[in-house]
Order: sequence, then C-alpha cells, then structure tokens
Amino acid sequence: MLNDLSSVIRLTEGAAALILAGAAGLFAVKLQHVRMNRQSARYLQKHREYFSYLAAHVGGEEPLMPPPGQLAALEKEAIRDKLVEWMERIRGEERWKLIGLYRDMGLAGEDMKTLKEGLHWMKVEAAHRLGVLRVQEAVPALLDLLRKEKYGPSLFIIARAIAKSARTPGVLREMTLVIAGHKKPCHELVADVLHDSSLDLTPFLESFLDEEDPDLQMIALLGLRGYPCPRLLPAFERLLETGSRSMRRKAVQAALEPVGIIHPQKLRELSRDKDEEIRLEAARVMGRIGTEDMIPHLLGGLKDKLWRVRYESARSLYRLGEAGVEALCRTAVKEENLPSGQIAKNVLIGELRISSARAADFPEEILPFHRCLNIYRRYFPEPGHKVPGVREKAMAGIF
Amino acid sequence: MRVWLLDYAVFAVYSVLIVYALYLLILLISHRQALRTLRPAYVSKYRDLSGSEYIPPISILVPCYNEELTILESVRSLLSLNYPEYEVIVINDGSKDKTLRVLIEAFGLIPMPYEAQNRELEARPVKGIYHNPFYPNFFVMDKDNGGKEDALNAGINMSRYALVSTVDADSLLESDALLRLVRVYMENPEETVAIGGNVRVANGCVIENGQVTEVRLPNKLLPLFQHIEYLRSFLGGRIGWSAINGLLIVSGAFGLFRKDTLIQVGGYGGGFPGEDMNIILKLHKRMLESGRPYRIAFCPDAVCWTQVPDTLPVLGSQRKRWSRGNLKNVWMFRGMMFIPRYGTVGLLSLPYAFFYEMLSPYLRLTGYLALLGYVLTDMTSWRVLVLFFLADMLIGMLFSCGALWIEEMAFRRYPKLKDLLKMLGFSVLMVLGYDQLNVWWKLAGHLDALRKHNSWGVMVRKSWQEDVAGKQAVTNQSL
Repeated sequence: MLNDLSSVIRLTEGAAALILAGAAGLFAVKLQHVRMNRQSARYLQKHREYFSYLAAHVGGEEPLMPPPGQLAALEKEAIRDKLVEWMERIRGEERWKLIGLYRDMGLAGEDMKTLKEGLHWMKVEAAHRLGVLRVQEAVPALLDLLRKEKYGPSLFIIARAIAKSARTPGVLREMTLVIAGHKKPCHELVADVLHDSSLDLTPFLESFLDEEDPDLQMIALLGLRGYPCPRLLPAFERLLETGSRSMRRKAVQAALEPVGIIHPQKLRELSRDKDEEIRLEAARVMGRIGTEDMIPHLLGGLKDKLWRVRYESARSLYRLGEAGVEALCRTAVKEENLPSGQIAKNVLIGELRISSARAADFPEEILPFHRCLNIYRRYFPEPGHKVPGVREKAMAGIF
Repeated sequence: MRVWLLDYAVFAVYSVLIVYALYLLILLISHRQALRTLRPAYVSKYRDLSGSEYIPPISILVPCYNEELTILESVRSLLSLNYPEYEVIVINDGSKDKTLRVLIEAFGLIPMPYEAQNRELEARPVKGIYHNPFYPNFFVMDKDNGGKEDALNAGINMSRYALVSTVDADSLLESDALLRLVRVYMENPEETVAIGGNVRVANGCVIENGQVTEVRLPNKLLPLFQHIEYLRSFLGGRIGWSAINGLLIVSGAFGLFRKDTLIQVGGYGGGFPGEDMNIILKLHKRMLESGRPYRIAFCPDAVCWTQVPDTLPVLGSQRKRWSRGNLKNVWMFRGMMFIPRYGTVGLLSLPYAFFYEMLSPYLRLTGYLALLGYVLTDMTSWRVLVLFFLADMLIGMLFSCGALWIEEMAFRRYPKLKDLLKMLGFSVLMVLGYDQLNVWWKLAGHLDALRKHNSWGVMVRKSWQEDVAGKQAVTNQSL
C-alpha cells in the first residue's frame, strides 16, 4: 500500500514539475512573441515613410533604395515580411524592382543561408520566400532540400519555390521526378505546381507521355490540358486506348480541353464510351464546339443512365442556340414522362432563367434570349408553363 | 474493508492513468507534427491554389433545423469563400421557425424543378428546391424532418460534385479553410476518404459579414472552459490520431468527404446523435475490410468558428447527447476492438474510446467514492484523498498545457499575453468542478442511452451579433 501511495506521490510531483516547467516555458515564449510583435509593429511604424516611398517609386525608372541606416535583426525581418507580402500580391516589373531591393538589402543571401543551416521549419519558410523572389541561384539548394524532404505539405512548398525559380525545363523535370519518386497520386498538385513556372512546360511534359511510369504520364496529361497541340493527339489517343480508368479520363480531358483539336468523329465515339465520366466530358465539349451536327449525339446523351450526362447533354444542346433549344423542346414534349423529357424541360427552364438574368445586364444577349423564349412558347404556350424567374414583361417593354 | 477501499481507489487511478498515458503519447505525436509540418503549411499562403484549375469542385452541405438567427451569416460566409468552384446546398430539415422564409427573402429565392443526382441514399421526401440565378452556386432544399443524418443524405443525393463538405448551420468558415482542406486531399486523392477541419470557439470574437475579423477569448466562464477543451481535443488529440490514421471522428461542424465512399457505406445513419463519429467508423471498417490503403486525416489549419453553449442546461444537454452518441457508436462497432485486422482503429483508437469515454467516468466516480469511504473510516488520512484529487487535477492541466504549447508554437491565434494567462488560469479552474461536471454528464448520457432516449435535447441559438444575452430562440428538436 505504501508503495502504491509513493508511486502516486511521485506521479503527482512529476506532473506538477512538468506543468510548472511547461507553463513557465510557455509564458517565456509568449512574452518573447509578444515583445517581437510589438517591436515589429514599432519598426513598421518607424519605416512608414520608407514604405510610402516604395509605393510611390516602385513603378518608376530608378532602382529602389534600401532603408537608411543600420538595421537591427528584427527590424530587417519586419521589412522583409512586408516586402514578401507585397511581392506575393503584385506582378510584372514592379515585383522585379522589389526583388532587386530585397537582394540589395542582403535578404536573399540570408534566406539562402537559412536554407542550408536553419531548423527544418525555418528552411521551409526560407524556401517559400525564395520562391516568391524567384531566385535562380537557390535552385540547387532547393532541389537538395526537396530530395531530403519527407512526403507532406512542406514538399510542395519547396517544389513550388523551385517551379517559380527555375530557369531551365531540366530543373522542372528533376523536381517532378523527385516528387513522382514518392509514388503518391498527387498528380493534380504537381501539375498545379508546374504551372507556377514561367517556362514552357510542353517539351518535357511531352517526353513524359512516352514514359512507362503511369504517374509521369498522368502529370503530363494534366499539365498539357488546355495546350492547343494537335501533334500530341496520337499520344492522348494511345493512352485513351491502353490506360487505366483514371488515365483514360485524364487523357480525354487533355484531348478535349483545347476545343477543336479532336476530330468530331472521335468526339462522337467518346459520347458512347462505357465510362460515364468520359461521356460526361464529351457531352460538355459538344456544346462548346457549337456545331449542329452534334445535336443527334447530344439527344442520345439525354437518354444516358447517368443524371449528370443527361444534364450536361441538355445544357450543351441549349448552348447550340436555336437549333439546340428546338431539339430540347421537342424532346420535352414527346418524352414528357421519361427522364430525357424531364431533364430537357428542367434545363430549359433553368437556362432560360439564367439567360433572362444575363439579358438584363448585357443588351447583346436580349435578342438571342428572346428567340429561345419564343421557341419555348411555341411548344409550351399555356399560361401554366410560364417560366418562373423569367422577366418576360420587362423584356417585352424594351421592344 | 479500509484496505480494500484504498486498493480499489489505487486500481481505479492506475486504470485511468493507463488511458491518460496513451493520451499523453498522442499529445507528444501532435507536438511533433505541429512543429514539423503544420507551421510551414500554416504560414504558406494559399493564393497560389485559389485560382487553380486543378482544384476539385466541392458541394458544401449545410443541414439546418430552426436556425433562423444564424443561417444568414453562415450562408454569407460560405458564399464568400476563396475557392474556385463549389456549390452550397442548405438543407432545411423541416424547421418549425422561419429558417426557410428568412433565406427566401434574403436571397430572392424561387422554386425550381428538382431531380436528385443520385438516389442511392435513403432520405425523407423533398418538398422543394429554391434557387436564384444571381447566386448560381447556392441552393436551398426544403424537406420533411428526418434528423441531421437524413438531411445530409438528401444533400448528398442532390450534390453535383465528387467531394462533399459538411458544415453546420452555425459554423463560420475562414475564407481559405476549404483550400487548406483540399490541399490535404490533393496530396493523396486516391487514399484520402475524409478530412476533418479544426473547430474553434467563436464566442467573444468580432464577426462582420460572416467572417471573424478579430479573434478574442470568450468572456463567459463556460465558453472559456469549452475553448480550452476544444484546444485539448483538436490540437492535443486529433493531430496525433490523424498522424497514425486512428482518427475516430471528423467533426460534423466542418469536414470533407469523398462522395463515392460515403455512398459505398450507405451514407449517414444510425438513428442517434453522433452521426459524425458513426460515418467515420463506417468508413474505417469498410476500407480496412477491403484491404485498400486509405487515410482519414485532420487539418488543423482549416478553421471553422462555431458558437458554443453558454448556459449549464444547454451545455449539459449537448454533452449528454455526445456521450450517448459515443456509447452507441463504440457499442455498434465493438466487433472491431482488439482485432489486428482493423489496425490502429481496432487495436488503439476504439479501445481508447471505450476506456476513456465509457469506463473512465465510472472508474473515477467509484474511485473517489472508495477514497471517500476510506477517509471517512479514518479522518486522519484525508491527505490521501487530497493526493489523489491533486494527481487527477494535475494530469488534466498537463493536457491543457500541452495543447496551449501547440497553439503557441504553430498557430498563435491569441496574440496577447493576458490571453495566455487567462487560458492557463482557467485550465486550473476547469479541474475544480468543470471536468467533474463532464464526468457527471457522461454518466447521465449513458443512462439516457440505456433508456433509449434519442432526442437532441435543448439547443439554443443566438444571433452572431449578440454574444451577450439578447434575442434567443429555444428549440426542442427530436428525431
């Protein structure tokens, strides 16, 4: 019994000691943070006129002058954070002028030093700042840090810094290979990071299309989305034929995103694909292509078993203009009790309401809206078929 | 008899200490994670992601019942999120107050035709959908009352996108909260099935246009205690559990889910409060049984602010409800406990929940009663009672201290020194009655569960503009 109580006593003493030490440490750290914040605020106030000078001259011809006098460490940090905040918000020559100032103040050099010598979280913060600055000289050290970094949010902070600072596609390739080496399906995130670079991504992403690593292929498909590259179409189609389900979907998005590069015949085939996501993409794109020969295939889409495909097919039909609206109205009447008819009617009403709202703000939309509304009225003349939310009277008053 | 009483008290204390030791380990893991990963992620600006074409679109589901006082502010905060593509679906679950009318009038909503995207989840009938093209991504669903899980299922049926985020009607999301959650998802979209956000106490904060513009500590006692509790639970606990994939709960106030896996497990259900824990346990079970790699994560830098109860009856009602939910969930999934096939959840998280949530209140209560009996038989041994009470108290304070360390090192939301002193001071006060009250409510919740009492109890909503007693609406809600 005595032993039990002595254990409890030891435990109590231990807990009390930990709490006292913890509370004291916390208090000390908090005091330090409060002091630093107050001092930083004072420094920012002290340099108010200097920041006004920067704001006034950042667009001028002359390089920006650093603040006068010797700066304390915390003072420099306060100015550094302010400059980084500005550089994140502005673009173009003004940003480069601020970057020049940052370098002239020796801050870039300090960040480079922290990158090699600091604590982990300090290195990552320095990497973030160097990325904002787009410091080319930092790239080797950033790549080194990237290679040693475990998979997690910090990896992408460093990668983004590399993407922004890189001056050659080879660096981006190296960076992508390091991240892909972790074998995590973070393809969208990598593609997003790559797009932070000002370099042309097409050459090295094209080379990834021919790699055997599916992760690199996926990154390439995502990264090349929106690039009008007809010569890549065979590679997209190859992956469409042979790839996994997610690969096929990405290949379709890459092939369809720059509207017009895919052959309409291929598009029609995709609208009958066994994968619902591919049929969905095809339905979306058909509306954007804008040609009436898509109408039969979109009408087929209205009968799809997946609601979203029916919905997008109906919307695409509306986007095709009067011919599409006519087709929707016919379907809504003839197939009234079927899902195809119901979706056609629902989308007609929804899109007419949106068009009505837009027509109120954009006069050039008034005529197209009224033509569509007149077609709707022909098929649904009864008062009970008034389109809720459509200001027909208001629109009539204009004529 | 005296010896037996003391032996039992010691046994009770040691049993509880074993559970606390695990909690301490989780706290240490949380510390490590906070410093290594969270601080850099927290300082990283998310402007880069906000305009990205690669960010997946999200359906935000907001189930609500009798939320006329808070719903407008919450919706305004959701409609001003910094996120490229999303929709907001408010599900009015048969409110008896003016929730629907308030929304219709404020946003100029009109009825629109409705067809469910998916019909895979069972839900009560939908009476109507309301929309205004001027708010193209905002919809209100009006349906028969069926409870929160029913409302969420109906919302999932209507949602367009592959990711759904569940947000309480009295939550205010920070403008980049969704981006931060989705960043975690994008790191591994194939394996991530759910991510929980961090819920912070809004009582006392300055709120303008649906955003917390000035962070302040609550100025009332109960919300302040709850503030420290939330820090303990979210920062001290969930970060660590998430790191070992043993998280048992993603707060209903703010979470992100993959819709396909929600549908695979049959959506929300259970028929009792605790639907947020229930869905996570279902997800764990399903994924572990399928053998597929997965993760259920916690993202502490994705913040949502919520009102917490400031009166004892309402707080007690809430805690009893939580306790009922915990008990029923642990009981429902008891088959996973101590089974190696269920990994961390089966071997660690569920047993911990069982001992900490279910057994430890009884052990503490009977332990103290035994000690009291021991002391009453010999009043000179009153120091023993004080010693045990002190040990219990200090361990509670240790956890609060640990959580405050994480807050200070990784987040620093409360910049004033007096805020820290206040939090430390109230951590001490908490253990002198509030923690004991929580034990009592847990026991009462268990009793309610045994009586098959499934009501949500008394919930009081206050307008976001009136933190001090003003207009209040008292509602009674039942399943």
